[in-house]
Amino acid sequence: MAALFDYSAQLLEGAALTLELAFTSLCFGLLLGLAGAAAKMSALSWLRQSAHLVSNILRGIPEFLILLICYFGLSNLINTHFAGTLTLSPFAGGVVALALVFGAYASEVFRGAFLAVPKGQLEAARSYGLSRWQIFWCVQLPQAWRICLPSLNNMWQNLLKDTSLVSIVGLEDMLRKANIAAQFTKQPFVFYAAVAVIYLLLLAVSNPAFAYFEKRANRGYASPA
Amino acid sequence: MKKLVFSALTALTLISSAHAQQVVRIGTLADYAPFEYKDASGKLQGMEIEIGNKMCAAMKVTCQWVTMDFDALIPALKARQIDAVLAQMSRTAEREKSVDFSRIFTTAPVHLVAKKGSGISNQPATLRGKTVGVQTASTHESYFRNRLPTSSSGINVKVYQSLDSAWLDLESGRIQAVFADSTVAHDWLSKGGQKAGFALAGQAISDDAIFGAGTAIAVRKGDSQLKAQFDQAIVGVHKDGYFQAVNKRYFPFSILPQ
Repeated sequence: MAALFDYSAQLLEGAALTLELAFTSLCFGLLLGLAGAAAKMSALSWLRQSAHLVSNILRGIPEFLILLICYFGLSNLINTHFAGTLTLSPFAGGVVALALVFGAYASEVFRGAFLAVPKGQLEAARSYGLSRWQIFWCVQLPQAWRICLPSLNNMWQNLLKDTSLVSIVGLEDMLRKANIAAQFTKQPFVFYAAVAVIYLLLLAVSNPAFAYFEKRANRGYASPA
Repeated sequence: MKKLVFSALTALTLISSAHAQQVVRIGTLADYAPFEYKDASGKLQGMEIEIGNKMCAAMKVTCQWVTMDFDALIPALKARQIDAVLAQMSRTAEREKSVDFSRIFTTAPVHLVAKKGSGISNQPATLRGKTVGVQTASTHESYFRNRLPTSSSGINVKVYQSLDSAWLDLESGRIQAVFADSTVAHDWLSKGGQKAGFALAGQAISDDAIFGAGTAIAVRKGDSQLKAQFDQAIVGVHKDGYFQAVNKRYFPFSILPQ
């Protein structure tokens, strides 16, 4: 246990990096997801088809491989074209990979949510003379948001845990820090248990946040009791 | 006079910027005590880090240590994210296809580790019917696959993703021996394995064709300048006694190449 105390600052540093990675990837992932969903529902058939193709490819490849391709593959590409003037940091590589995967799944979640908004609502909005932007912002988005929140919570939990994949490219997230400490002290269980507790704590904090969002989004709906 | 001093100064700054120290990014591990590991303050420590820093000083280059997984080292070297690898990497014919190696930096003796009094030694017959743990993709695994296949030797081999899990299984009795580098085996023994009744079993096992001549520093294929610099630095620390002095602080046996 003394070893755990010695390495606690390192573990917390790792936890901070884990959160930083997860939040950055979440922001870019949500934007990519929205853009993907918009492309999939576009009136242009070539845009629709290519969006589906890209998201199917991204969802079909293991995340670990996407990370390897993003980090090593992109670096190789950059190297051959810019000869060492540009480098991809491990953090950037990790965020690109995690955001791409998150975005690919989120595009389906958003698409489903927007499709679930009843057509009558749009027709009603249009007959009231609302502009396209007003329809999106005041009619479609609030209802789609409510529908996709539970799925987004699931995806966020997965994302937070998937961040541990980035240790392969040298980023020292929480799990990596635990591995390092365990290898040196030869006390693996102490560190793995500590990391499990920290992950649980992080999710214990994020769950009430999602519960609050859901409660807010459900204003005006009868509670399903 | 003033003008002369000024121009002399400018000349000096020009010279020093022209000779700005070359930066060498060395890829290594963060979890391979006692060669390279991070202490509780997050600082990189270990035998290869100490000697590596000394060599960088001798080479008059600025070294940046970059830690990553062992599997990522060679891809990172090829992708130019690092310039060299110093991580107890054995110089094998297989690896020489994709990278260039310096001269041998350390030997890497290999040992079986087993319970004291179990009768297990470096003689294969003592392992008949027993299970030995090895790390995946290691030279230790290929030794058993090539030299002592289960069908003829009667020795079962269990392959682990990391040596840490092999040690856990050895302690719990699921396997009867672990086959690994004597150096990391010594680290585990001294941090609890010995107390639990384990020891090196018999003599070191030698087989140059499988284990290679030792570990060396890897550089990108064709980077002959950096290879030459490291070769010279390695000869330096081997000759002036620095290697031996550090070696003694980490291990009770020598890993200086003969």
